[in-house]
Amino acid sequence: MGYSSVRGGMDAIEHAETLIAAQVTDSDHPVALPQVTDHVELLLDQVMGEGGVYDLDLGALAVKQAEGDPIEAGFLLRAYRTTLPRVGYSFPSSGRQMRILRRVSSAFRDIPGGQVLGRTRDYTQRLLDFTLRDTPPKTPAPIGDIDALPSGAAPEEFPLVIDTLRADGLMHEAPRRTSDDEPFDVTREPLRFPSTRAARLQVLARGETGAMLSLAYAGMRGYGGAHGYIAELRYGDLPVQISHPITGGPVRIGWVPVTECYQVVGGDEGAQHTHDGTEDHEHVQGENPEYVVSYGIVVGRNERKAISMSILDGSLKKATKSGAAIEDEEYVMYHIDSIEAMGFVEHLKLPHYVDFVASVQRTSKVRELVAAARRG
Amino acid sequence: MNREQRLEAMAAADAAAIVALADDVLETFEVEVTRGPTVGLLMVRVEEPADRLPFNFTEVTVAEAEVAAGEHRGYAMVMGKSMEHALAAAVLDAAVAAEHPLCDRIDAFLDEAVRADERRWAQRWAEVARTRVQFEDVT
Repeated sequence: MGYSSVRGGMDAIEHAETLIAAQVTDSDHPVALPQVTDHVELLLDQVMGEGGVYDLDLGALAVKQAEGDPIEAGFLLRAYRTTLPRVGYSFPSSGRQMRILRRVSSAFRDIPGGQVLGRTRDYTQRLLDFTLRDTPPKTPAPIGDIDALPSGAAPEEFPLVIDTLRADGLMHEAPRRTSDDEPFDVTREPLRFPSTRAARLQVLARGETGAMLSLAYAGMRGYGGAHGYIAELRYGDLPVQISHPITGGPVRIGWVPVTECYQVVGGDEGAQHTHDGTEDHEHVQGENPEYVVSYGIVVGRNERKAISMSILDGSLKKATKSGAAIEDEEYVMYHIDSIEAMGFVEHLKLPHYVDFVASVQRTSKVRELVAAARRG
Repeated sequence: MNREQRLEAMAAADAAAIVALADDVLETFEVEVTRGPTVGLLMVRVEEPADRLPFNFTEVTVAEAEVAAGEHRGYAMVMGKSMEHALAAAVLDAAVAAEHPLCDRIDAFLDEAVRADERRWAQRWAEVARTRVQFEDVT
């Protein structure tokens, strides 16, 4: 073993790359992209969300090429997106425009439009289904009578639950119109701190699911942060609207599937205990305590991340900080980005020969000096 | 169907079918491609609900094209990477603007594209409709 810088290894690297390519393609049962879109949908949604690009075909390709590694697949998407021009920005879409396929509230039992469970694993037992090893017969979907559908599928049948709180005076009214502020774009400009809320929401929407879950969980266990009740958790399609370049009018060119979480925090439970026993009095507002809403939205079906995002959004919005890490925007925003985190941690396995030989030389020199001092 | 509705219908239409229709139109209709067709990224913005603050949510791939037929313009942007779909839609847009003889056929095609899109959505809603919760009070 020599502590010196080296060169070479290209032949080994090329063979290693061949091996990884073979892993993806050599099989009696090669994965076709529709299999990814049809059967690995949750992984695909996570990858597209963290990669910051919604495209089923590209996402499925990234999942296949990365052997199912969501962070590697997200990295592939982010790298690819840099090769495409930005053609513009959509009009801001609102959850009010969502075509609902799932919608539950843990704050209210009866909500306008009702609760729609949709496709959920929430009530299933976690038992391996060995019939799936083979090709089981298709399970028919519980389809109702399409011709007898209520106006039901229309977004206006499902008003936001937070509007109920607003109507009761328990939450401040929303502004009459969308803010004119041009939102910060983290894909175009480097982050600066303190950041804007728009930048925070963008970073959270692109954040790594596991990292966000971990931070949100830490907050719920008392290490700072803010969480309350889920007024509404929704899944459905959000319209993508552009300005028609000839007429200037709004045009919907398609839909993006998203999961949204509206979490309400505050009320008379505004004094939240932190892990060191202190209380956060931010939401205790004199004689008229109010609720505030924290927001989470993610690409596709990813409720874990949407809920975590709403917790982190609420934590970062707090005016009175407890000093906890998850209330520190720099801590949260830098550490939930999967590509940054993966790159920094995994770079440790790459050659650091020069660094380490310098370290060894310093250590040897210190030892020599100490030995010489002892000899007098 | 106004111009915005036309683009919505063309964006929802089946790519192969709209390309086939545009090919038929182009047999008697000359256009100049003035933009693209290109594939790029559209940043989708979302409005946060408390302060109605817009933010950049995610990018989506889009294909975009614009054509000119004399004084008439045709434009299309569709989600995904099908430049053929975008170009065909731009051709049809210009053809309708220019009152091409195949306008009735184009209108019928777009009407059917809208109905097909509504049927697809109705089917998806029908699959979840029976998961709507009916709470019962137990006294």
